[in-house]
Amino acid sequence: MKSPSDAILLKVEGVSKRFGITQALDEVSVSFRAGEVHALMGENGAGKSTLGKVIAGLHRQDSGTVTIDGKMLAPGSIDEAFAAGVRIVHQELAQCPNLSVAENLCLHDLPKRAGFLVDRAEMNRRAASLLARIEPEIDPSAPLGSLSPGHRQIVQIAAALDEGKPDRDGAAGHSARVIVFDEPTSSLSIAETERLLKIVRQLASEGLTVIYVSHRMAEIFACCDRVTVLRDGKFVGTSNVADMAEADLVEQMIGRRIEATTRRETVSASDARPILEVRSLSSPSKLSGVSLTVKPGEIVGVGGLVGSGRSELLDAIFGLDPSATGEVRVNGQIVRAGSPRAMIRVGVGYVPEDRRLQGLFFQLGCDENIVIPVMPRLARAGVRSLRAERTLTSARLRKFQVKAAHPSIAPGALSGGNQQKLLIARWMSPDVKVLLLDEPTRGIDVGTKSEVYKLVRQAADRGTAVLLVSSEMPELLALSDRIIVLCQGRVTGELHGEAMTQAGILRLATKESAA
Amino acid sequence: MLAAQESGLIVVIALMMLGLTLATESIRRPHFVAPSPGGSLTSVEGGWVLKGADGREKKYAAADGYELLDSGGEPRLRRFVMVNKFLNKENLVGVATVSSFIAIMAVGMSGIIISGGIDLSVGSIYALAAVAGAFAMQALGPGASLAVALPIGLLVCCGVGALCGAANGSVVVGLRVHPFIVTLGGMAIYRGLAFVTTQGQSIGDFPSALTLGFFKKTMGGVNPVPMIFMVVIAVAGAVVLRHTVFGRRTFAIGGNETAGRYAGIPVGRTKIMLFTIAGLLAGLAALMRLGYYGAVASDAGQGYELDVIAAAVVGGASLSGGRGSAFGAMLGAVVIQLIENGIVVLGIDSNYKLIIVGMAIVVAVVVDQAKQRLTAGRG
Repeated sequence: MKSPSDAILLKVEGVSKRFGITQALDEVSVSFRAGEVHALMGENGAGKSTLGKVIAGLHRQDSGTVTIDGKMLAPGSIDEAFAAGVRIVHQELAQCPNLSVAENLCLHDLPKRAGFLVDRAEMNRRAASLLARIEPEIDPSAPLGSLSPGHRQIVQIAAALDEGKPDRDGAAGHSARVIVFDEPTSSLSIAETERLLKIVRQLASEGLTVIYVSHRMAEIFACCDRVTVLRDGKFVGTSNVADMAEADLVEQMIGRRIEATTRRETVSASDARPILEVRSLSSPSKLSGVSLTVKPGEIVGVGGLVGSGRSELLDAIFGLDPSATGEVRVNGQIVRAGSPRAMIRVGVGYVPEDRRLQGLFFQLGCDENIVIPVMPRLARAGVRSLRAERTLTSARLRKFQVKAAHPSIAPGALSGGNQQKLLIARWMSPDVKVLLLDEPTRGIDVGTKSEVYKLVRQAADRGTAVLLVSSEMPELLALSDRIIVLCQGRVTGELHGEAMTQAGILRLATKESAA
Repeated sequence: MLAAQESGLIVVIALMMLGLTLATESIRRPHFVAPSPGGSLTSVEGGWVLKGADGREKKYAAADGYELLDSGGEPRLRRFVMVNKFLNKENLVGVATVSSFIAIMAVGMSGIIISGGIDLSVGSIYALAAVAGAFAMQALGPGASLAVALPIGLLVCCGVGALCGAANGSVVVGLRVHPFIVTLGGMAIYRGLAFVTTQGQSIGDFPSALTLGFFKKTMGGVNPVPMIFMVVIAVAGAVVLRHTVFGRRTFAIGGNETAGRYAGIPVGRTKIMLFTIAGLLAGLAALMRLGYYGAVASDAGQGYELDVIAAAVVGGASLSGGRGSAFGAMLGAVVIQLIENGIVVLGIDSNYKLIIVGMAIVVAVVVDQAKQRLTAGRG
């Protein structure tokens, strides 16, 4: 790894920021060098994203300063930060999928012809020149929505590299000097992540300062030079990545050591009769002939790359895919196709991938978020039984340690980890015999992750059959008793015992046309 | 027990009433005293004595401003009193009565809006249900008793309304068309059906037991029946939305429909129910109206969709779904009626009504969003 120069480019000194009662940042000081990839790490709510946004001028700090090259930036001024060369690549893909790549890249300043017509040729030329620096393969005239998530992320990086409009007095634009990446890989596949990390390294080698906010340990060790850890809004330390072990970093983040995620004792339930049986489940262009079984107390992992049909498989099992064909049996009984309600009645629970979009109701309280699937059963003649609901929710919130100020508070006020625990708690009832989990630890911090693992294992120990989808290989390997691997909507293999390795999963996941 | 939204609306209503009272001038209004059947009016020294059928006597002095009118018909006494143009019993009762028609429909509309939908056809459903009910009442004739007329009226009006609502809901769910489009079409179709069936004629001659004997029954100068209906429906709506599984599912769907599917909520069925209930309530409002006014034409409730949606929105229903309340809708209806009444009592050209109501909707939404931002910033 190329050693970055020691010149300090960007200095954050004594920055504090408070949101309501939450002290997001507390007297944080960090120095960033030119030409380094500098990771910001911490649990959810540690303040790393907030710090990135303060640097980019998106948030106005309550106190403290941000200086670039000795020049102090006005707090909360996006324009001044932009002029000084600070760019941010957002966590969410903030783009217009219905417009072309070039239009997205030039949206802030569409080139004009004859005063009001859009100069498409100039626009495409400008977009192509931006893309050429990092990924010339992308066609500027293609609709953005037709691109893969990885390429869309790259388009956003290209937008960040834009020099902006030349000043009115003709002075040149402002070239990028600092780029903040906020969780850039959360929606990318393995290959796309690798490509992105390469681009990040390339930008640093060109002398830019890259500030890299991420949860993923592997990425930090693969591409970052130094890492600053924040905890509860406070600065914990800055270290050279090369001098750190993963365990040290985790300890810095959560303030204590956690036991390494070890593989669970495989249950020998071979004699038990499967509780979930899926037979030749197919859906046009999503799944073809997937069959699998899960026994009580068994955790079956589903591996595969992004787009291999993992979430689609769970959707189809749960009856959410109207065009799915095939058979799903629970406890030996065929369940009516296309009806999530029938699935819930026979004891199937589903924690979907995206808790914001598919999981939680943000206008309802935490309590109602938990009881909603069982509300009709607790109710008498359609009228809610508030007492029964309260007993159930308070027990569930306590058991799953959802940190909510009050049971009826809206989930939006909880941290991401607590939101996820809330969603899992919804389905952790003794009536749920089959649990479908899709990325149960997405976007939550290390400490909460190990809690979630414990919850999943406990559920399995109680005899629940678990079907687990995860993009994080260590998680899949640590939790699963066996792993089924999907590629292009079909099962390409199953791994047991010693054969369960990252390499094994990857080999099956890329076994393209195994028919 | 009331949420902040509703307490706020009560304050707004109180302020509007205070403002209108102060802003309108007093007017001279005649007040009549006439002998009841079997009674008599006799002239005495310095005034008149009214003798009731039960033999009780009451004296009215000329010094109090009474004068005798006996030009044609029964002789009666008259005097002029000064009343505030806004703050008097007749005006307030009128506001409350018209509010009750709007409020009942606004409760149904709130349910739809909370679930993330909209119903533009509510005014037309109201008209069609009123026309259907009017034919039924006319067929019963003026002599029919309340025990016959009311159940038949409820059955016909609410039935027609519920059918129209169910049709809206089924198309929205079954064909997956946006409710805005479906109910825009419904608005024209149901209104058109009302025109076709009545040939544009007004229908009257309803059982008087239903009209004067019930919906327009006066007790102490007040017509309590429409107001009682309004309060009952608002309370029922609040209970359904807060305390039934169906109500909470409505909020859940409006907040996050996808998550609703993942949580096993019967999304389609819930939506169809909501449209059906809204149609049924429009039918109920139609029955109340035909009972109150005693005649119906196919252009009844023209433009009511604006008033009803405005009432729901002013009452706190969020057009992006997930928020709203039945009490809020009722209070919103009162606010809208106060605006319309204010235009009348202040002597503003009634052509300005649409402009002012339209602005009220926009202001209500802007204020609501500002409030949302404030509370969000605190979280």
